Amino acid sequence: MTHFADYIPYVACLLAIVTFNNRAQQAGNPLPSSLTFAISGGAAFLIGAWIGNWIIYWYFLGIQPANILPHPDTVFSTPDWKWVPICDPVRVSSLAKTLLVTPGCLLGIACAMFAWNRQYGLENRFIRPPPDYSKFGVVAAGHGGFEGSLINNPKVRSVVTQIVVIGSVALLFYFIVANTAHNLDRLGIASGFKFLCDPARYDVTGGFMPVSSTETHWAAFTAGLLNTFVVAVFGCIAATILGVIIGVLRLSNNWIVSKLAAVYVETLRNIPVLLQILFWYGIFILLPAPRQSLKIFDTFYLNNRGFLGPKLFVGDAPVLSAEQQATMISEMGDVKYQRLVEEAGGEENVAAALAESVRPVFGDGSSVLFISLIVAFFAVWFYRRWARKRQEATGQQSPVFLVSAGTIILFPILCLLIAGTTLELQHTELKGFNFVGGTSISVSFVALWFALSVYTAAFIAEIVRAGILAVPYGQTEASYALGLRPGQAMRLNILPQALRVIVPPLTSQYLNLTKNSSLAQVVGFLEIVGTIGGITLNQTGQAVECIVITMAVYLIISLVISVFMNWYNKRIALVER
Amino acid sequence: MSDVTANQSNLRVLGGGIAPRPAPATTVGVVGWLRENLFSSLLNTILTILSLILLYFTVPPIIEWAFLDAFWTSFDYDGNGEIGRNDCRVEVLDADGKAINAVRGACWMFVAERWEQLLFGDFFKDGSLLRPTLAFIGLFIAVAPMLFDQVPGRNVLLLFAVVYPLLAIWLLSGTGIGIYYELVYLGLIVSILPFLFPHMPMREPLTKFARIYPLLAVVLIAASFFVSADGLTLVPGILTSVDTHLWGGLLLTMVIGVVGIVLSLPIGVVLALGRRSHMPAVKLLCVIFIEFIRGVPLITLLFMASNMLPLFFPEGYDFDKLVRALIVVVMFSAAYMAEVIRGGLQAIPKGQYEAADALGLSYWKSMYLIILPQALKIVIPGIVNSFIGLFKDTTLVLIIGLFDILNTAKLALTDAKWIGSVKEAYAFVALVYFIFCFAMSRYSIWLEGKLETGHKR
Repeated sequence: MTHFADYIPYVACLLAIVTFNNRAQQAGNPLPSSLTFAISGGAAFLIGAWIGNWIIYWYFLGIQPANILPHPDTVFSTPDWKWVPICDPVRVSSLAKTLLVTPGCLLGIACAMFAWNRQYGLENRFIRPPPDYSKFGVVAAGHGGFEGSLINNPKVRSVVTQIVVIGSVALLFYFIVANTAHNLDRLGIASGFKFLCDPARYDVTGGFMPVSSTETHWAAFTAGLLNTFVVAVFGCIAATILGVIIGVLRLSNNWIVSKLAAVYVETLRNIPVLLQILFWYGIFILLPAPRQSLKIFDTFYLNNRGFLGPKLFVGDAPVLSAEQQATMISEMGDVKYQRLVEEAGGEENVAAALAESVRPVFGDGSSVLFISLIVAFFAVWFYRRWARKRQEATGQQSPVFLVSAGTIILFPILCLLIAGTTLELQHTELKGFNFVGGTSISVSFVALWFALSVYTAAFIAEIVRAGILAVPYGQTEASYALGLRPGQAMRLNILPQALRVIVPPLTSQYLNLTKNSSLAQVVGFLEIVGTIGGITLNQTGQAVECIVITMAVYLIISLVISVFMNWYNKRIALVER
Repeated sequence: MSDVTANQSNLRVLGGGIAPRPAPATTVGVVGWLRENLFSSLLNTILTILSLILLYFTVPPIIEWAFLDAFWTSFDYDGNGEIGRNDCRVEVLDADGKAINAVRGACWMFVAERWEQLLFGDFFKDGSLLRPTLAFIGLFIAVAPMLFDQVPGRNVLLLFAVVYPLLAIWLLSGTGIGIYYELVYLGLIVSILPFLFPHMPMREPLTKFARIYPLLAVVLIAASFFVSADGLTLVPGILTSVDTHLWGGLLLTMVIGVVGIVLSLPIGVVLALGRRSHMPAVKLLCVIFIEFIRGVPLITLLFMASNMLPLFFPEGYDFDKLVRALIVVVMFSAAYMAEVIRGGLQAIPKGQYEAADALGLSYWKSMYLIILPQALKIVIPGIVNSFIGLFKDTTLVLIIGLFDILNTAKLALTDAKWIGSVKEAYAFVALVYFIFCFAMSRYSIWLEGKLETGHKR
């Protein structure tokens, strides 16, 4: 499978080596030892073959680098631009060979240079002699300049190494890009992100933003993104709470409690999280079917489809215009419309039923809630400022926590009552084989969230324990000596110091949890890897674009979380002289 | 203070005084221990009682399920001619007091019946199970001298450890790795010999060989790209070849885990050194690589390997699925390893670097002889943590359709005969992982203690 042209550089190289050897002998130079000759000759052979291959490809076979990269203007504007296929498989396989050989060649060259240097020292005419420093007034060698050959000059070595490294990486990239372009062209896949606007043809259910199959891949992607965020946020919250509790319990002087906490930590962190997700999923789907759901106070239901509960609506259902109603009915289709009419109990109730079907949790009139919340927050902020000033001036403390919590909770409720906003609790009901209405959380989400939380909590517990142990006991004693109560000592003295140790590793645990949420794949919870990195990829075949989007999202999340945590860390860090 | 001492010495001088009284009964013995550790305060008492309640509701049911009510041996109890979950059914009373047939305890028959598959996957289809068994035994023999330096005949075993990878590949795949790589490997073994046995005959020429060996290896590897030697191998063709898609179960887990552990450490060291290099280009490349890998989940990298890697190579290049997974796992754990090792490098005082330079050592020599031995010792816990993480992450290969122990168990659960054996299957797999990971973490604690040179206060 080798093209005859591949042999040309090899032959040329051999000729060059033999000629070089003869010339060296004629010039009266001592011959290198056979080993040195073999190594340097071999290396020269390889590098010559490598360069020769490129020359052949570029100039003899008419494949020029300029043809491989498209003009920048045409990349996104013309939909049907094509990568110029760089070469046929035979040539590409030689290319692969030459690329893989590159590191070997370079090593060979380095060895050869080393051997030549050892053999001839400074007399080697292929290596530049050191500059004559005496004319610059520098007498002693080794001061300010270099002594010996170029190969021992750190600056030269560093530059050569970097050129070699960058060159190898650039070649590798070139190889990858060129091949990918050729392969995509061969498979008839057009590059670009246009596919995001095509209909997705799959439902995203079980998450927090249902997307039907008629919507686009972009919509499915956003739903996946939301699901990732929800898992990450709720997982981090639960893991932190549980982790702090377990970490503190492990430090307890109660023998049985600390041993239990130790068992929890050692067990859960030594079992793969994927296995834990699968296990909890396997347990949860063993729950009874919807008709035999486990009931809690007749409001919450647990079954193998999900966990259900009531839904609280704030505000009224929207008032739909006649046009909106007509569009909804026409989109619905006859069968669904008939069912709606039946359920609503007549044509005259259809408008209300339609409005109910699109009723958001925060409906008309819910703005009172938001405005009052904002007002409450501002009030609390001013109150806290006032309280601090008062304490600084008079030394008297105010009940800051109670007043703040009370204002934020009670003031909005009061406003809602005064404004007379509708507060409606919609219970979930069993209709046929399934529940309708209310809030439902899918089993896959619960399994994922639960497993991720308990797994990460084991790690957080250890971090918290280490953080608390890092604060010397003298700090606690000093707080007591100042007359602080245990709670105050913890809150004002120990915790702020422990947080300095805790925050950096805690950040990486949050990042781990977010990244581990991609394991939702195995339980069929569609988050970002499930939507864009999974089903969309398989349907459209746009592997490169889909994986690039998925990775970009995770990289951005990582970046944002670490920037935020670094900011927070800097804020609480110890300020030293 | 001084008064007290004076009084005590007076008592001693006079030879009299009061004989020490025994401690109060409530502060010594079992009662004292209980008082101090379980009931020292109101909160502690409440916590103790809550813990006992928790234990009462969890431990006895688990013991009953896993041991007392469990079925351990395979036997066709229901006499329907095949062994399945139905054989574990016993008569129990349901909520209404009616007698029904149900599985009450653990049905360990499942594990017993699927034992071979959980260990070796579908290996038996093409090859004898003696081969992976020998490979497992060999692994323990090879690893023992590396872990403990008190093992008798350590040098011989270390030599075996060097030969072992080749042996394992031969046992598992049935074929060699091509004549070039085999020659490279044999050269490695020969050049290690004089280091292991200082008194051996022919030591001088072998040492000389060891010195030129790296060049020889490079030439051989380079030659393998230019001169095809398809099918040429030193390995005797007495074993049938077993394709990697038949490897599975614990075997596959161990292959990925061991290869990942062995390769990720040196690559991680190189990346960490690169990240601390003074050459901006090298540093930048290492930073980009490490941060990119650490910023994305392993699963997206595995997806990349299964969907994008074929696009990166010329038409007709077909990568083995296992090799793809291995490349990704090694890259992934090397990036994490690099960060751990960088921590160690940063912890070494600058004086050590300067001292190495002052001795006239080259960069690599100063790293190998001075810096790395100290840096790696500091970060042993981090390295082992990384290994544990890697070993747990091997489960993720199920996403790209490889049958490691977890995926084998998952597959077995879809068998109609065993439907509902979720707890048994996952408990078994969890136990396997727990044993390996826990052993690793205990070993790291032990090693830390052993290498402790007493600089700590």
